Amino acid sequence: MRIIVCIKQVPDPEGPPSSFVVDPILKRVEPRGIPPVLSIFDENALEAALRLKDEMKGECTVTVLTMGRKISDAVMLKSLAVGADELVKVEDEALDSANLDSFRTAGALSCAIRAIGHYDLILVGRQAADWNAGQTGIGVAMMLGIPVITMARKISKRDNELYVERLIPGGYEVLKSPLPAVVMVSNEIGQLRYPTVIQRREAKNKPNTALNAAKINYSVSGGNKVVIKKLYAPDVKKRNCTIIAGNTFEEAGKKLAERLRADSVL
Amino acid sequence: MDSRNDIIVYAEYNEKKEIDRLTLECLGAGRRLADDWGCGLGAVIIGDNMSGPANELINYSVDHVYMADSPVLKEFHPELYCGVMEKLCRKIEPRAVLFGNTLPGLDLAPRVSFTLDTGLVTDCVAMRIEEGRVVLSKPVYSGNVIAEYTIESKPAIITVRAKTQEKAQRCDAYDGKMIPIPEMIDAKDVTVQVLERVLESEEGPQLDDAEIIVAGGRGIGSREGFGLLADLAKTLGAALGASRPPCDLGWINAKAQVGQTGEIVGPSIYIAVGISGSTQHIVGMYASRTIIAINKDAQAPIFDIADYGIVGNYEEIIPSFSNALVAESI
Repeated sequence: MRIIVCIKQVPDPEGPPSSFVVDPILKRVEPRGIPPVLSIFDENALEAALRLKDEMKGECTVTVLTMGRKISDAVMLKSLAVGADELVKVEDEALDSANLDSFRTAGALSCAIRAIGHYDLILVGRQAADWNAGQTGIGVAMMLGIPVITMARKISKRDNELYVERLIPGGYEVLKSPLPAVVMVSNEIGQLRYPTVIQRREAKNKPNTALNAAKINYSVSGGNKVVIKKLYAPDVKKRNCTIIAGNTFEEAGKKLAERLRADSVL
Repeated sequence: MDSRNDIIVYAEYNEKKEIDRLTLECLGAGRRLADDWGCGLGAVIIGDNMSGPANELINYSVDHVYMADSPVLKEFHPELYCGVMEKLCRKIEPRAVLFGNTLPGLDLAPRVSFTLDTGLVTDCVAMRIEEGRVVLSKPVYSGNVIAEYTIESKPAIITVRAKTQEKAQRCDAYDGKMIPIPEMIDAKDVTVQVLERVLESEEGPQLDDAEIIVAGGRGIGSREGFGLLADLAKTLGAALGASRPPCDLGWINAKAQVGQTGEIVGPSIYIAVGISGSTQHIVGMYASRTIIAINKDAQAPIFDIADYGIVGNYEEIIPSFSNALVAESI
């Protein structure tokens, strides 16, 4: 079985608000002082792939596919260090995610997947940590003409069929899907494992293929269906925080209760 | 009124077939957009035995209620439901289709968007008409940036974030029309089979409509620490929430997550314990009326948006806080 995991590089979403600098003319966000990281939900997708690989003991290879204007090898090596078998990166000015709506993103990813050729399962995160669209996985599936399951919290394979637990309001459901398929993975599946020092070192020797838009047969035509008109920092109004102190923390806790009663909050 | 160029809202409902609150918020937004645009407001409801909720929808000044009613459609199935939405949209050519930004909405809306080859903006917090087009605001970059979008294709597909729109007003005897759409099911649409549905019982107040929320962050430090918060929540009759790290670390069920990718809440009181206040968390709870922060780090950003704060060790603060509340309420 071959699993392709689509992983996007994003500026660290946990960075402080000041690190997301808006360029209002170019309508893009320039990260300042924060490193690129693997998008968190894509890390969940990679973890799901590695668990399948663990279960299938050697009968499974995991290919990580990433795409963008500029890709940091150092960041992507993490995916190989934790256990992916190969990396395919498609780097091109034309693949700047700020200029691609979900149709173009899904279109370019489908081209890359076709260029890779053989696959049984494609895993993606529920949404990217930068633009939060949450559409790419479904788009890729529809463009490749294969089934898609969203918000997976558990994935297993038996007799060439896929069994997936998908989150629904108030619970989950168990689904059965033929392969190949796309599965969008939820954070409930669990965090990505940590690599050992030795794994980190060995990751550099794993296959690492560099492609560009022309090599995957992707070309941009027409306009985006969804167009960014404006970007700006939200106006989060600060509140005036009354700090409650005491000689001990216990006293502070008691005083807080009294204050909330006095102010008719509680 | 001609039903072409309507704005239509995809209606969700609960086990008791009551219309979801977010659907009512979408209808409220849809009505305002429809009035600005000078078009009608429609709603689509899909399921089995739907005439009750379908008629109820009309009471929220919906001009056209499209009802796909069949035993086959009893449970949400994205492939089947997408088929219904696709065929309906091709037939009535709406101007815009609104979904709630819910698990089903986020599954269905992209399918409808790609099937109809038209643009979608998810998680919208504001909508307005400008030069005959809908302009959509959406938080991006974990809530640190707001993007405004237009959709250049028709219909515009939109998912709406909870608690950002005024609910539709109920007005009895509205002159709306019920339009059954029976012919739109296609078993060929189905590739994925549902084997089992498990609803997990939920006890106590839920995040979605709790008056008080007690939430913990990375600073809680352990699964056991959340026991202390659960006790406080019980004392206050509050729901228990969390920022993302405790969910990722397995200290608490992921359903407790408040924030950009979790629940968006707006209780009367939000007690944030050991939560530093990353933007993606703040966007999920900022609407709370009173925010109380307990954190070791006096520099934590959570204090910037809190009304009351204590800098210190929560393990010592919470029990005395809780005891004092109990003592005073006697």
